[in-house]
Amino acid sequence: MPEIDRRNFLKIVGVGGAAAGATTLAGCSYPETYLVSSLTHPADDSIPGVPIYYATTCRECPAGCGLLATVREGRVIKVEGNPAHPISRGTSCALAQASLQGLYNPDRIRGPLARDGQGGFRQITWDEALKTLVDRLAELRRTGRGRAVFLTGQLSGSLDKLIDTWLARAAGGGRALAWEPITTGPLVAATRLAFGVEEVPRFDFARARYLVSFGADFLETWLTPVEQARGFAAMHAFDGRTRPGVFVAVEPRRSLTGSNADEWIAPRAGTEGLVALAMAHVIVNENLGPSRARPSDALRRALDAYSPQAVAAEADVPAETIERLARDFAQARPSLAVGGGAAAQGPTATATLVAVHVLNAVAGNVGETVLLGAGERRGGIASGKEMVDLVQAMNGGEVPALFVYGANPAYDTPAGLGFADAMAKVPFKVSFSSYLDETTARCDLVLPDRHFLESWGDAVPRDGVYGLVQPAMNPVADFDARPIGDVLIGSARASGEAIAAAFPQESFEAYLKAEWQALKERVEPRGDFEAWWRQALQRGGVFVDPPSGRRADLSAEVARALPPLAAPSLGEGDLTLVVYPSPNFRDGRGANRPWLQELPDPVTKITWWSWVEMHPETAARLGVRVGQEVQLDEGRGVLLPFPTNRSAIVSDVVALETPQGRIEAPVYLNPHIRPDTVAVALGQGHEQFGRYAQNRGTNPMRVLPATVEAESGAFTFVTKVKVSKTGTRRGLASIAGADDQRGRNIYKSISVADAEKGTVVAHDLSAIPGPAMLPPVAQDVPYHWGMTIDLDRCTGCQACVVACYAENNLPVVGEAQVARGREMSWIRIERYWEPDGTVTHAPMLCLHCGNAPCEPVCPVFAAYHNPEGLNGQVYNRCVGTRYCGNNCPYKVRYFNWYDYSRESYNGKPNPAYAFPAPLHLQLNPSVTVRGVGVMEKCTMCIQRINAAKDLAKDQGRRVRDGEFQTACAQACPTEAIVFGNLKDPESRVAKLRASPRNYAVLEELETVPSVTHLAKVTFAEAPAAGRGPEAKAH
Amino acid sequence: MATTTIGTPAPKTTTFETMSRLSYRAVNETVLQALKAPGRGWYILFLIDLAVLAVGVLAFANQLTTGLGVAGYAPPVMWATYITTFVFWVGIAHSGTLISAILYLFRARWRTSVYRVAEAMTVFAVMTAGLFPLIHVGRPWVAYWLLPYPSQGHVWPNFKSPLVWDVFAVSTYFTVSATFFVVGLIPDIAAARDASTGWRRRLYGILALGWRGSNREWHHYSRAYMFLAAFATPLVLSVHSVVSWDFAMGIVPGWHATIFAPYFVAGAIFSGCAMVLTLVIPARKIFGVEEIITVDHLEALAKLCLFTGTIVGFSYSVEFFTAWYSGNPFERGQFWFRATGDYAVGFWTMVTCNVIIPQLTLWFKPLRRNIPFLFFISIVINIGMWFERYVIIVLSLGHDFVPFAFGSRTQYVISPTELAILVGSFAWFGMFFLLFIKFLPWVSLTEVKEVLPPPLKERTAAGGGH
Amino acid sequence: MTRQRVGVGLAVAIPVIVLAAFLTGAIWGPPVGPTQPIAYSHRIHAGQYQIQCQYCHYTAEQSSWIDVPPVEVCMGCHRITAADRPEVQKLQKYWNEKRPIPWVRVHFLPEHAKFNHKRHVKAGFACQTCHGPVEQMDVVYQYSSLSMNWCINCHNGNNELNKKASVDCLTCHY
Repeated sequence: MPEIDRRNFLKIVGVGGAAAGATTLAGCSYPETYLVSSLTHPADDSIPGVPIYYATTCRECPAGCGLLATVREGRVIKVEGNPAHPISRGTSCALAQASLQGLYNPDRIRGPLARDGQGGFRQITWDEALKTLVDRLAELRRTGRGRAVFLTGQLSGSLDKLIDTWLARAAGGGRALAWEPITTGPLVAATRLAFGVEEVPRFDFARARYLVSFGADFLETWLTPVEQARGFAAMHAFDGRTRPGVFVAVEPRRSLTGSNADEWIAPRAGTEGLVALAMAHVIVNENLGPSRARPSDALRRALDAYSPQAVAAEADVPAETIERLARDFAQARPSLAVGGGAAAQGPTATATLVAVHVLNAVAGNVGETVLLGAGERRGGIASGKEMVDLVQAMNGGEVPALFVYGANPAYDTPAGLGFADAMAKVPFKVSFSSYLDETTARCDLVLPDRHFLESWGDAVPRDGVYGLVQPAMNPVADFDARPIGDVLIGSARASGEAIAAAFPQESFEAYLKAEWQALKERVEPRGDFEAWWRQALQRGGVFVDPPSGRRADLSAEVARALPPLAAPSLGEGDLTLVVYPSPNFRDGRGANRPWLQELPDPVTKITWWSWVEMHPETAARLGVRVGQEVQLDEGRGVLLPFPTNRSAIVSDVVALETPQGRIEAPVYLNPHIRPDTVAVALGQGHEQFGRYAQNRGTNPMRVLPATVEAESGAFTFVTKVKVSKTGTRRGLASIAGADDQRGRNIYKSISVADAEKGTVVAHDLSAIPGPAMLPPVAQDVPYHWGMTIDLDRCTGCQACVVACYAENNLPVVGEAQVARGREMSWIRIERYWEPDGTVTHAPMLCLHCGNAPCEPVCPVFAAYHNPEGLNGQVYNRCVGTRYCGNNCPYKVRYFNWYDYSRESYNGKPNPAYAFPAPLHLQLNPSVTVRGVGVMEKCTMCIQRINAAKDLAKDQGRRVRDGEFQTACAQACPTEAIVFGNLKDPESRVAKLRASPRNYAVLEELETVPSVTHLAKVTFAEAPAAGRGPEAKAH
Repeated sequence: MATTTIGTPAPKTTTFETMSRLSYRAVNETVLQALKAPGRGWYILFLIDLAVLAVGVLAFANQLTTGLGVAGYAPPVMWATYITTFVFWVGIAHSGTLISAILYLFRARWRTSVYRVAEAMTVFAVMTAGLFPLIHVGRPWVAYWLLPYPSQGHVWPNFKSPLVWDVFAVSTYFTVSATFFVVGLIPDIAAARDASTGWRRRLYGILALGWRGSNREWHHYSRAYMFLAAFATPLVLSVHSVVSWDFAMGIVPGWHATIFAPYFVAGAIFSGCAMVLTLVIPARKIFGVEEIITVDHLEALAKLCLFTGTIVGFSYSVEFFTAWYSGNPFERGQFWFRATGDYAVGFWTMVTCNVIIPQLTLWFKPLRRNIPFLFFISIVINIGMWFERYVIIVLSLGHDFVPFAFGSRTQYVISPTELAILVGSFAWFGMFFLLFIKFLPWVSLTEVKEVLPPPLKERTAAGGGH
Repeated sequence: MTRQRVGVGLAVAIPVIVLAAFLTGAIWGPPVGPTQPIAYSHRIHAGQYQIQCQYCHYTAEQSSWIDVPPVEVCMGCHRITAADRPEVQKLQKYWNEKRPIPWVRVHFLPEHAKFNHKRHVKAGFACQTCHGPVEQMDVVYQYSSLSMNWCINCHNGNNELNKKASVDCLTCHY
């Protein structure tokens, strides 16, 4: 009988369901398994089988959203947005959902590491590790002359302060730099130049009536995406009360954010600012702005130069378009212009953003939708300039010690900088990273930090929003990690009396509490701290009204900060490369999460690899081919290593070259990019960082120069490149079968005018017999579960997709399988390029048809209809004929081609196993892990439905509307997905279903779905964007 | 009525010219000599056959342990080679019953020489087809759930599901045709018994069920035979209609069509007759029975192919017409896709093999009577008919309603596993056929004799054991 | 003639007897449970000393699924009670070494099926309804088949309370 510790216990209880799921042979004898008793009652008084929730704060990006961690049997199995948190308001994003796979990542560092002789690492104990650290610190204090450097990600809160103290005292002085490749530096600089305040303003999207984004990907990575998505939905989605605002995207490559725009304008890269100024020019000349927004004469004079005609030539945007935009922008009050993304990381980044500020100012938006002094704490990121200096210092041997935490500069700085090489010149390098990323791999000492779901901390993204991070579970037993705070404090306290005195608390937890005691004095002097603290822990922090923000006048010198009237020179080359942050991986930090790798890019729908986005015309000019080709998969057999053929979309691999370097990637034909521009996403091409990220795709940083922009010192993400065919070809695992609707108008859209008239989108099918002939949903049952999906609210962010993976134990199948259409994603976002130049993002999942085509064809009632309107799929009745999958017109049924739930076949590891330890600890115990050979599909989170009904029964009542949601609906930042009881006329979903925009997808098939869609609302009057969908749909 | 037009003009005269020279004894000897101990050639053939079968079995074992992933399925194409091959073999089975039962009822005398082979083919083909649903499903070990049996759990098969109809149709068909086959054999086995010695004699003795050839036995025999023929006749139409409903009952564009039943039946007989030709032409040469299975018989089969082939060709055009005429964008999309899309090669292979080549040749008598050519075209037709099912299944699934879910991003390509199993299925069929031809009288002595002039006094009347 | 009759008689009788024997378990006798790391006897605790099931299995009416009690619960009594018994000393050994006890799983619910303890306890069913006369078992064995037929049979109202319950598949299969 094997030795059983707590960890195996978790394995058994946790994957008991999974293991069972794997043994599909009915009636076979069960292997001897154990019910291992815990020693004592759980510390948190939790009851096995009953989930408990901990409020905490997400650390996956600097936005600082609040989270609720769902804990079952001592394991976090899911995260949701914290409804009490003012930024996320109960919703979340794909990265937050995937934080679980950071926690249980099989490639997390298992314990402290030190360099061994031959270039590798060796495991050491924490005592050794701390001793080494303390000794080196002592040496540092003697010889370091205060030149130590501590690189962190953007931190806001106590840890930030602790690091400063620690550097000053324990490390004998030094600098702390917060490095984020996706920087707010230019925005801060521009705000200083334009308004004389050095900060990030707050942008009130919700109030804007007309929104122009100059490259800002505010739905993806820019500032605080979840909050902005909510604001965007409020201003742009049709609610039947107020006329929706217009959104125009001005960017050379149409991002996911841009794909939500009613109009896309594609200026030359780097000329976005000129377009903004030309708009300002028109507003000022035609005197369209409000009187209080009159510009100074100096500015007037400066603006004269930027006439639409003059700019049109430089920016390659018709003057009429600019004039039209300017007029609409000024008339709609308040409007809002934001600048970011590649536009804010070019050679004229700051000037561009100054131009955007000027545009806002002359249109009278400052103080309305652009709020200064609103207490945003999103600045303070180290500039490229500072990094250049740092690298020089490192090369010059001027940096005796480098400490890295939450940053990966060896990967995410431009190749021209040569950070990785410079690290070799630093005698002592310490990483606190939990993963063996490129930077950590080059360090001498690795002191793995705990995941944020295991540790204490806080985050203050905005004055008034004080978020707490608290451990939601005991540390994952596989990993011997310690919180960086404790390590810093411990090392300091071990460095002699004098230093120890500066660190009165023994642990970071205590330190944090002390900090919050001070905070309490500020925000709520009265009352007992412990009670206040406990309440803060329950709510996930302390939230008081943030500063409302004020208006400000343009500074006198602003005229001098405007961009020169000429497209900036971007170096030598034939095409312009735009490097953009990946919506899935951000700057690459998400690349080691299998969910995010399998999550299709929201625009190209490609998984697991990098690609070069190229306009079809350009591809034709370069003779780049994209087409069908037969390839061989790796063998998957157990008895025989049979390879299997597959024929997939294969495209030419092109090389992008600059003086700094060369990258190669297959081409993806994108009609929504300028023909003179190519684009590559950040985030892939890791050399380290674990099995899921390593040697996958390419890292565009390798071709970027280290040139920095003058004002803000930010690196540039835009450069000219030489593009050449390599002669090789490669397949890309895309989930898109077609890029347009083929005129089938399955996902409907109507004009604002019609929507306001209340035009009914659905056809009246009552005349046709059909549903009438069917047994309706059982009458004696109080529930009919249903859903509405508002195509006008969906931004395509795909948070719902990852949420579904997390909630329903969906297996990750890998690139080769996705390339064969075998992904298991129960919900997918279909992306269509429409003839009118807009883009439709259509969530598609099992619609739980009342007249389901899948049900009658199942020979064994595995697919059947349940009294509450659900289309049930009974796994252990399923024989696997797959007829249901064929007969489903929506193609939302997924088959288990391999046994993803089984670790090994009698000793031989199963290549298809989807949950390598400890990833299996994340599995939701309430959901079966499906075995081989059965069909599966969206269950509308039946486990949540049953749990809610169970609770309601205990309390002798019915389930209330909004009491619970499906995982997808709960994650959705824009509330595009609404779930509820259709039989309750007061429920939100019932009301939405009554909307004239409500219709059933493929209604002509009379499937009578419980999940219906609401038609997208388009601005018929807004002319189609420059380039329609002439994309060759593969 | 198709069969009459073919049955009646069956060239009696020529048949008699060629066959009347035979005495009953001659018939017995020529046919029964096939039952002599197998020679080296047969053994080599049989071993090769078993080897091929073994590969198929191994491939299936691998699929069983690993999962269906080793097959080439590329969703939305979730049915492919296995179902294609299932329909193919069921189709093959049909002409057997047509020739043995329907033509019997229509007294088409030319059938006598070939019916035994056809009937054997039917039985073996159904036995082959029956394997494929099991190979195809995700969890074969619970496939028995498709059978209705009472249980406390109150779970029955779903009688609405065409797949359940299939289970009934195919199993019924197998039972009936097997019975028909065995009953038909009795008198001939008796003849074989009388002609053989040793253990064979004992074996045949048992199989002959003590047949003495008495008048009373003959009387009952012919009644039973007639009855079974009548019983089998409707199955020819019903079974493949049911198989066609596996598709026609679905809503998939390209499946959901009323034409499917007749279209499939015609197709089945088309491929079936082709298969009979493929089997008979070499066999009659090897065992030297050209006098019994004459070119006239082959031509009659060729005519049957021509006729059914024409129906099939017509059905293809009707499908396209309805797709266009319906104005249904999904139907239109599907058929445009068939002719021009990712899998167009499969479609055009089908058209060439099933329509173009047969229509261009079989109308001409010289070609119909050219035996090497008949052999060639029988192979062509078999290939074409396999592709017909492939086109119906794979192409329809690859391109249905929601464009984003089209299969075009990754095509279905047959995998080595599927190929091995497909070829293995032919070996499986071949195994039974080789055994049959060696151990059972493969031409019906009884019925051939029926069409011979009765043994008259002046002739040496030694009518074998009868 | 008579011999034939006997033959026929036997041909009928033998299968019937075998079947009957099989059904009554006369051949194999009562089922035997697995040997546990500690020879804990429900007969003594639940039977002799009349300790309520839920004193130890306290989560049964609070949670959808029930867990074996923490060692702490055992130690509640056995710090003092019967501390001299060898089996109790085994228990204390586990406790002192801070090692959890690897009880061998006795009940196997078929995979892909869920059973909600709370609902059944709250519905007022005795533990014995499914678990059998545990108070008489020295070694606990799986008393009920836990097969779907068994579940459905009870859900159809064939139980001591004549309560009917949902037989919708999704009640247990998800």
